Amino acid sequence: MADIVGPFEQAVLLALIRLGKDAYGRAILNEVQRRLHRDVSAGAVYSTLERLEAKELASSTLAPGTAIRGGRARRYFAPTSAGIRALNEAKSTTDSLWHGLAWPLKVRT
Amino acid sequence: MISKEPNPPKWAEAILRSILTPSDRESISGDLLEEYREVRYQALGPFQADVWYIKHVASVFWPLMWRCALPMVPLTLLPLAARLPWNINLVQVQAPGLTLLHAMVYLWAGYYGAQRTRLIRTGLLTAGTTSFFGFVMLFTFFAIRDPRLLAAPFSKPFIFVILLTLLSIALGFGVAVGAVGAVVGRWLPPASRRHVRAS
Repeated sequence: MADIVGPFEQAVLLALIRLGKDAYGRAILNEVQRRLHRDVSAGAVYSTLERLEAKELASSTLAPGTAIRGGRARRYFAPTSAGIRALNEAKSTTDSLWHGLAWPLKVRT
Repeated sequence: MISKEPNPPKWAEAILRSILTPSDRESISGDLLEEYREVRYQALGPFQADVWYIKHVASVFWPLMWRCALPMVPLTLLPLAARLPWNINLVQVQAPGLTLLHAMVYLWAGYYGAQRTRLIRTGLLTAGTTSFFGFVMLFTFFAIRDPRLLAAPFSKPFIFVILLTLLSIALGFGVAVGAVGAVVGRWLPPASRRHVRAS
């Protein structure tokens, strides 16, 4: 059974997939903000990335920095195969929970 | 050579670099600097861009701090509520945050900070911030019980001096005890965290 990933971890992992080779910290932060339609703190994204790496659901590699960032290295992230499996399982669980229900749900008054 | 690029406040950048793990020090500070220079400074102007930067430094600091700050909540509020006997004052000074249990939290904060980043200054920073957090919580607790306390330093300036002295004692104690933990944390081998892909 794959690791259970929470909603925010899913948002970060999906951002890694969407960004592909361009998935470094700043781009991930902006992508997560765009998808969640809200301001997200850098600390929340970086601590999630660290947690995903600790759970071996994502891995990272360093690349040289550019002048605009003072030459500081960029860390690029990618989901691991365990990360992809965890996302598939999360989607399947959500689909199973919603199966047979008409969406959007009607509010009873 | 003097850089013509806009820069965030030096102190905020120094704090950021102090709280990051060695493997993240360059990449995370670079990410925030890049966003600050390319987007925020142009869109928000210098002041609001600085506020944006400081806010994100605080957000990176919080995951490191909450483990140290959390024990301060019961530690500060329980002895006040129940007057428990383990509230032993370690030094013969009547000031808050000087008990044996407080010392253990500062020791842990210093150890945890230095162990995580391999820098003694991180341990000092986490221990100092932990004692500051405890002091603010204690002040808030008393201010809720008696709201006149909030106005008191303005009507009687000597109360402000007393509060500042108590805060300095608490901070000094926190940093001094935290320094011991920081040295131990720096000296012991780190627990490996990062899973790095071979490039």
